[in-house]
Amino acid sequence: MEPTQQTPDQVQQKSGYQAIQEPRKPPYAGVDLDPACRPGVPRMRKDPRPWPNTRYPPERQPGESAVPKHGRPNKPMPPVFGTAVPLHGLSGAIRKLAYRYPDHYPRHWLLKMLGDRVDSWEHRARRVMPVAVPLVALGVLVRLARRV
Amino acid sequence: MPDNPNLHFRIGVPTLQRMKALTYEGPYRVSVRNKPDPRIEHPQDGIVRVTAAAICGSDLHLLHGLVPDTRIGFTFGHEFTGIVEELGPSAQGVRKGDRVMLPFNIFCGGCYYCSRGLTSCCENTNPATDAGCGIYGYSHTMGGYDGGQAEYVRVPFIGVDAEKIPGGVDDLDALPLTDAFSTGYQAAEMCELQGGETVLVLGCGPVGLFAMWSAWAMGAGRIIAVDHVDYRLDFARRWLGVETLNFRDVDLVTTVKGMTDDRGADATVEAVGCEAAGSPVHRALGVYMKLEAGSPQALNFAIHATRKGGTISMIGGYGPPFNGVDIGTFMNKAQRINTGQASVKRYMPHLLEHIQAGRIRPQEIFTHRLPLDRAPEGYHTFARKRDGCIKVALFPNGTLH
Repeated sequence: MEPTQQTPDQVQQKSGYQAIQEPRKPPYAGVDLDPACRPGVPRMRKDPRPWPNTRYPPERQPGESAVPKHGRPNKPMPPVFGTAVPLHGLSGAIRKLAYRYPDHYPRHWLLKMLGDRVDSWEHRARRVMPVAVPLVALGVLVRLARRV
Repeated sequence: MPDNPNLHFRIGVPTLQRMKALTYEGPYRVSVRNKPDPRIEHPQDGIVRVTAAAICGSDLHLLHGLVPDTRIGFTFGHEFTGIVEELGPSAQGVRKGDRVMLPFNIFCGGCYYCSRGLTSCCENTNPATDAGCGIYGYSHTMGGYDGGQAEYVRVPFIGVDAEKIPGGVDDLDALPLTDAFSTGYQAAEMCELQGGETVLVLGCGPVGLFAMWSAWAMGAGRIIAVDHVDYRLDFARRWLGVETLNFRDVDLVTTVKGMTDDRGADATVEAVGCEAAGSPVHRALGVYMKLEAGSPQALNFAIHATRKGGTISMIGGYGPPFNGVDIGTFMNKAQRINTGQASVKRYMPHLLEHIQAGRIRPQEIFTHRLPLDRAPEGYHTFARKRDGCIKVALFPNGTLH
């Protein structure tokens, strides 16, 4: 059944099976109508099997993770992890504290968000310091010189 | 690491740091800097030289500082194709020189979830949270893996995760399979269509567009696309022949019910995520004041515009810990929400068949194609929805198409 054509005002005044523009079905419409064509159906396979080329269980990655394990005490440390930007500075201390709490506690996330803001302030401070520190020092010296 | 910070080791050989990569510089700022090349860190790792990388709508959540534990200096990019450069001693199934595409999920291939097809829920790649597996370039909450908007990238479990790109398929046609196309396809699949349904798609970004294509393929009777950006609605109409609504021009829920015999859509795809427009209150609370995890307005639109007993397919990204979702209406309307990051690998062969059969040319969504050096410009054009931008492709190794 095709919807009847109406204006937006008419559609907002009275309901029906109606359209504002005519739909144009493409030629491939319905090619995956059969659920058997859909790779994600069923969502979880009834016959579990590893993917091709899998070596399981994976070897443990040496080195230190950039991300501490979150604080659920019975969570095993995964064998593979990222090492992109290690924790550092005050933001690192805040993030480390956040990771002491499990991820089902809101404080885990709120502390992480605080760590992000502090990271941003630290970064800005590092950028302006090479200019700001000499300028402040110069200002102090000038004032001292004027007093003398 | 060696004492000299300019030196690092890749396969035991010290080299100068030289790789160019996009780096996060704080909310709303990215730049392109030099940083150390990635190295093999695990026996099943590989290193890929990136030939094309896309900017995803969810990268904007990172750019805007909405994803917890996004660290300064981190490299974004979870959609990329490349050439295998190096392999760890246990990586099997791929060879140096293979042209590959990488699902955005980093997964082991053998755990409880992977062996049942849910690679997006792998247990072995993310210490930071139980909410999801490792993802390239998606904050340290998603494992702390640098992303593909760089010349090189470390690829864990390369033999399992990488999918070879068949000859005759362009990198730019393969690139959306790594996330946007597979995510859109899974979004349509989660609508559980049986033929003839009215599907509402919220968001005409790349994922929304691919969800519309997939909903047609799965037998939808009508597709109504929703956005507040007119050029994106025009693109959806021209490319896919769908009906379109701009919720700035009409009352969205009233109009959708008016078009569907007073009931609402049979199924709705929510392809917007945590920066949704449409509610000044939620924008203020969630996006600007960060008192909730972004704006849940798209999900609230979905609950109200879907019929009773209908299905909502939720594919937009939201941060923890909480959102102001109209859960009471959801319960009263006897609806269900199907959710989940796309388990990309399971969709790749099937979607490649559609590309090879000529049913879709995914590269048509790349309205902007830039060298990596111009990535910050690409981000801002994409974020501000300027210049007719649908999606941006970056070419870190100078292979501009």
